[in-house]
Amino acid sequence: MHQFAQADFGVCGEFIRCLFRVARNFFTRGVLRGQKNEEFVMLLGILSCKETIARLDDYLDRELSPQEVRLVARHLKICHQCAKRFAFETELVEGLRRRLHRIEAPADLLEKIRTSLEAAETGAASHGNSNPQCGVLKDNQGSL
Amino acid sequence: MPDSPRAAQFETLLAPILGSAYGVAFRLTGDRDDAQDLVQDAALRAFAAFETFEPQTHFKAWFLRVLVNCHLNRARSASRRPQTVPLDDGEDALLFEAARREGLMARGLDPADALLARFDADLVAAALGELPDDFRVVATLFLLEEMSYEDIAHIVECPVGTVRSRLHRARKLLQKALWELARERGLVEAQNWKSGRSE
Ligand SMILES: [Zn+2]
Repeated sequence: MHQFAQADFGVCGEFIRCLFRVARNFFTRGVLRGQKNEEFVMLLGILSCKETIARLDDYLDRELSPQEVRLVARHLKICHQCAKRFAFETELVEGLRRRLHRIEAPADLLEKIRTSLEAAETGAASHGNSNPQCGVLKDNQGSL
Repeated sequence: MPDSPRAAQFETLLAPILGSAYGVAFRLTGDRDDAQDLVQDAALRAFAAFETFEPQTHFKAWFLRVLVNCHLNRARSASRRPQTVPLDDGEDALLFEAARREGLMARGLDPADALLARFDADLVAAALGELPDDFRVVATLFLLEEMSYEDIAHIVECPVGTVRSRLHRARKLLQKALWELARERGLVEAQNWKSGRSE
C-alpha cells in the first residue's frame, strides 16, 4: 500500500489518492481520533488542508525536511485553495525581502573602527576595557 | 592596516562582513547614526573578546551575536520603547484574507504583487520597526540575512524551538503592523484598489 500511494500515476494516481484521502478521513475521525495521525499521514502520503497549512511557516522558513516538502507539494498539486495561500505567503516574503534591501555602510566606518580599536589597545592596560552599554558578553564560543 | 597583528587579524575578518553587520544594525535601530554607533560598539566588544573566537568557525555569526547582544542590552537599559509583547498577534493569514476581501483573488492579478505594490520600502521598514525587539531581531536575521533557525538560535542564544515560535509570531505581527500602517496612510482603502487596477 505504501509504495502504491508513493508512485506517480498522473490523473489516475490523483483519483486513487483522493480515495485514500476519503478513507483516511474516515479512519482518523472514527478510529484513530488524532492518535498516531502523523504515522498514518506518512503511510498514505497525503496531507489534509489543516495539516498542510500547519506546515506553512516552516515551509516559508525553509525548515521542512525533504520528505515533508514532498508531502506539502503533493497536497498543493491537488488543492487550489492551499496552493493559493502558499503562493501568496511565499511571494509576500520575497517582496518584503526586496523592499528591505541592504543599506550601504558608510565608506569611513572601517577606518573609524580601526581608530577606536587602536585606542582600545593602547588604553586597555591603563583603563581596562569597558563598554557599559553592551553589558557582559556570555559564552563567546562561535560554533557555526 | 593596524600595527598590532591581533588588530590586523580582526580587521581582516571584519572587513568582508561589515556591510552585512551594518545592514542588520540599521534594521534593528532604524537610524543610520545609531547603526554606525552600534557596529562600532560591537566591534570594540568583539575585539575585547577576540580570544574566544575559534578561527575555524563562522566569524559573521560570531560577530552578529555580539552585535545583537549589544543592541538588546542597549534597548533594555535605555528602555526607549515599551517591550511588552502584544497579547494579540493579529488574525491568521491577515494579509491573505485582506487581499481576498478586496477581491484581488478574482481579478487575474497576482494578489501578493497587487498588495505589495502598496507597500513601499519605507512602509515595510516602519512595520519592522514596530515589532518588539526580540521579534524584530529574528525577523531581521530571517528576512535580511536569510538565516536558518539554527543560525538565528546561535546568534540570539535561544533554543531552536524558541526561534521557531518567535519567527512565526513575528510574521503575524509584521503582517498586522503592515496592514495597520497601510490603512493609516490610506494605502489600502477600497478606492485605491480600484485606481490601482488601471496603473
Ligand atoms: Zn488544501
